[in-house]
Amino acid sequence: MAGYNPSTDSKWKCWQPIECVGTFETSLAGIFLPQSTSAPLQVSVTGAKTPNGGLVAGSELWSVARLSAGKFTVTLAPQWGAGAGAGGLGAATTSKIKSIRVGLQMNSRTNLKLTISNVNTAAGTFEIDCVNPNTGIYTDIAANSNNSISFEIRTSQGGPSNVQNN
Amino acid sequence: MASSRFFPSKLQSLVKYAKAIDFQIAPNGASTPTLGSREGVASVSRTSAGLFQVTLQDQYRALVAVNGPTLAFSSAPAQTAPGYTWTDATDTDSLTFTATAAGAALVAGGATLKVAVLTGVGEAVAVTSVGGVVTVNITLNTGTSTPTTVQTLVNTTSPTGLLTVTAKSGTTAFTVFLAATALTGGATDALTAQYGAIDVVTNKTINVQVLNANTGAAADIAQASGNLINCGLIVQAQ
Repeated sequence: MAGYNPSTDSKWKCWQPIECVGTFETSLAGIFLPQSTSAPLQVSVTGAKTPNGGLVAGSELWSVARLSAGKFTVTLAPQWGAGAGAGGLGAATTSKIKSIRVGLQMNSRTNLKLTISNVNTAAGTFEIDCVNPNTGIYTDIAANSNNSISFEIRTSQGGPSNVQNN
Repeated sequence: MASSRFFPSKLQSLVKYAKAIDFQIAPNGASTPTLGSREGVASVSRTSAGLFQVTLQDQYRALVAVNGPTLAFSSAPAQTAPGYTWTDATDTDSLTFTATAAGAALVAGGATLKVAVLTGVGEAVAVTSVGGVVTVNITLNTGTSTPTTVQTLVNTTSPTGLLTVTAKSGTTAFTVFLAATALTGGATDALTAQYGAIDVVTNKTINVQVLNANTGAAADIAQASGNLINCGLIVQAQ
């Protein structure tokens, strides 16, 4: 096969399915760049694809907004899954959330800590909070391409039902 | 191992027989915790303050990766500085505090800045301004040739030396944060979580610990709807 290098070409590597323990699992992950006091920028967006690979306008499966200093609200799009509520998690599906996790990437060493709060399954929203434990102050993160916040939500219900998941 | 516990997903890995396990621990203060999402998990117990041990239902061949743990709260807790604060409201740019005795209050400009009780001799606190907020680094010179630098605050006892604090800033007002005494891990102090020992091969156990982000002291989390520790593992099946 022309150009085939099994040690470097990941598409020829033997990708194995990851099974989940328990019930069928849906995962949604995203990354955004805080912009200090300005609106954060989405980096990783999942949604419906156009024939040329671009995203269909308005089909993004999540969005993020700066709520206040150091606090961000992530909103899951309705098309993310079945069930009532804007984000498709449904008011009665709290128990279907298997885990929500966040991670912080910083260009330089920091002591900032991330937690989440205000998980609202009916609205399909949750909050990511960034605090400086030295000061006890919820703190904005400066704009930098290497300053990012990532999240992943895993549920046993939902998932993109009418969009192509990339 | 009960194969009926495993369900397909679209996730892929270069590791064969990879399994994703996600679960949530619901802390209950000093009492027995419960599990939120618990698939693949047999039980959870509280070993000591802030330390939880989760036991999986099955043994696995190897641990591939861990994610989190991420703390979740019902609402964003009001955070407090881990000690006393002093604000340079008059923008004097340069402030010097000197204690006349170890552990005594530092006084400057009519304000009182209480400091942590240190153990070394010739301790010094260097304060630099970062974006209008001051970061405190404490260096303990214990009499050896190589001083030990302690990030932020200390919580020791039995003072033996004097303490000098020098604060320098730019042209804007700033705030100094210092601990007054031993930090105790108050309910509103910033908490963080990390994994401890993980043994998915033999004992099927995963240790998760909650810490005060400043002191490193173990900290319990009160029971409340929405107060959860979110955990995730990728393991390799036998």
